[in-house]
Amino acid sequence: MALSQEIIVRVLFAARSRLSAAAWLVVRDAQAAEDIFQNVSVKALTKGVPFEQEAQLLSWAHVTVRHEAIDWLRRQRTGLVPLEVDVLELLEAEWAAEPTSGPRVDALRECLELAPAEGRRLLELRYFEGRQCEEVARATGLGLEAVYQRLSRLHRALKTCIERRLTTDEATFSSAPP
Amino acid sequence: MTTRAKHEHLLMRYLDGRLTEAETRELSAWLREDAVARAWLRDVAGQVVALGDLAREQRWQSPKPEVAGVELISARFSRTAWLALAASVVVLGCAVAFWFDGRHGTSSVVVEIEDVTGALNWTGPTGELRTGLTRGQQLSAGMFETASEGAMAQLRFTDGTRVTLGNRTEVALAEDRQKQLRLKAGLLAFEVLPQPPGRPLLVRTPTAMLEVLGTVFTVTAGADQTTLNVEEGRVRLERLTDGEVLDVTSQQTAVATLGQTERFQASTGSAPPVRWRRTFTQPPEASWKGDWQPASGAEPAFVRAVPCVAGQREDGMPVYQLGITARGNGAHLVTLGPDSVLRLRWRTAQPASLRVMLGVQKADGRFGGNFEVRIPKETTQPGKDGWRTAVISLGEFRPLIQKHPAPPERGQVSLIFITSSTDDTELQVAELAIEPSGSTKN
Repeated sequence: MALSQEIIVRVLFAARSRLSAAAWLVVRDAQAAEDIFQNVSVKALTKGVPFEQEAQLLSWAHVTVRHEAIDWLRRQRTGLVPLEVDVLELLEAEWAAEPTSGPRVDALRECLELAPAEGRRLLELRYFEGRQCEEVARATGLGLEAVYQRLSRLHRALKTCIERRLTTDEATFSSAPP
Repeated sequence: MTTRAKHEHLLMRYLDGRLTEAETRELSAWLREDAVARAWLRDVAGQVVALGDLAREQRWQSPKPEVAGVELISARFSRTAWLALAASVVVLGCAVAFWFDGRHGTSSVVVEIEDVTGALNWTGPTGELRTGLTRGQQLSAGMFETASEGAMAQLRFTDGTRVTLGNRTEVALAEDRQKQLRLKAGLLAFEVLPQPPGRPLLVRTPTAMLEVLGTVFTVTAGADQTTLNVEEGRVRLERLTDGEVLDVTSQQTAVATLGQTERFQASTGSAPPVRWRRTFTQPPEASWKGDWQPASGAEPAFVRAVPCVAGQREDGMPVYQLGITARGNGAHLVTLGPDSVLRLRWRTAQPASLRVMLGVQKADGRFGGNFEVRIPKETTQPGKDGWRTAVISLGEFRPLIQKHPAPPERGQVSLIFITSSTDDTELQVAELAIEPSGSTKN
């Protein structure tokens, strides 16, 4: 039996982080990645081909996100070159094998509050304001290489912090006795 | 520089959009072989998406002057993680075509938008669609639609007559020597200035015709029922099924249904109660949005979040978020007092913050503002069964439109919208109440 519209919405919602992240890895523009996710969601509901299984829907969504992201790059004529397709496919397969991510925004908010002020400023410039690293370097008085290094370290620290937050959070009803 | 350090440097430059084609090939070759690097890259991309969500959330929580509500619902919401369902566009498009018959096609300005929050659309007689309308825009005859949960709009005719559209309201509106409206569904609140002799303002609903010379009133309509509340003056109400006519005067209410068995009479209206509490031993009214689940064993009955129209993209496409909407069926839910509190019992699959929005109207039916509160997940602790409880005073709600900085005195809640702040967290609500603080359970 074909998945209902509500199930399609729920499945895509649950996979939004990874689908948007997959788009961002190609376009490297957070707003464009979000738009691509939205467009793919609309296509899922209007393409007229019934999805029989969630895995089929997700597989289709990943491929469509990749195609739309590459098309977006071409249309924008940014000159950006995406990773080779087989690498993108490898990343998608690994994403698909991971459990669905939980609400990371809350954990991220907590971790950002713990980050040093300079680190928060770098992340805000780069990702809240969407500036290129060269602009971030100018705004902060750092060299471009220093910006790369510090962002790289910040991502690692955030990863560790978020994982710790997610694993030590209080029990939820999904683990409660029925 | 070690090989790994070199590759990590390549990765950062890739993410910054600064690699050449040859360098990208080199990076691809490395990623093909290195699972740890791929895991790191996936994680960084996930962080960036979450950072983007957080940035939008923070912008969202910083109201802007004048049209903050518009930004919130129609633009900012659209850039968050919410799905657009094209199917709804098709449905809405059909509704517009059906309800606006084009007889009143004219390019002259009929109304100006005085106030708006959320997604407001207009479709002209020739099918021209304008979405994301904002305050100050002037429009000719057409179909108006408040297209998102919590959306409200106040329109002013050239003679100063005002009509407020409640959320999820569809109305065709025209003025050709006489104001005429066709309300398909939703709520309209009127302040009608004296109309020219022999040319009353007319409102047609699926079940009734209203004739107005000058008054303040609200009308709520669905497919099979029209409810009229007159605040001041007099409205002539005709029940379409049998042509029976009724004069409804100040402080009176009347209902026109499809059937003729119900008594067609005006009665003295009354404000909604100051205490309203809802559990879900019975399914919620059809006007609610939520998936009802009956009690099972020790589990209480609850309502689960379902996709709701939360806003609109800049291209007019609706965007959806999973949420629960409570609204009255032909009446408002509750009258607010200075000590009113909102009580909520809920749970989610993962710890998540909640947002609760109240749509409020003034006692005379005019729009009184939208107000929102965020309940951070860390401020509540779940019980063993996962349920959390929050009691929030009215003062904790912040306005979404600066023009309406605080709920009006004796304001009436027409809508409550509850959603979690991130992706689908399987939000469930077992109890929802607004009541004076002294009567709240601890």
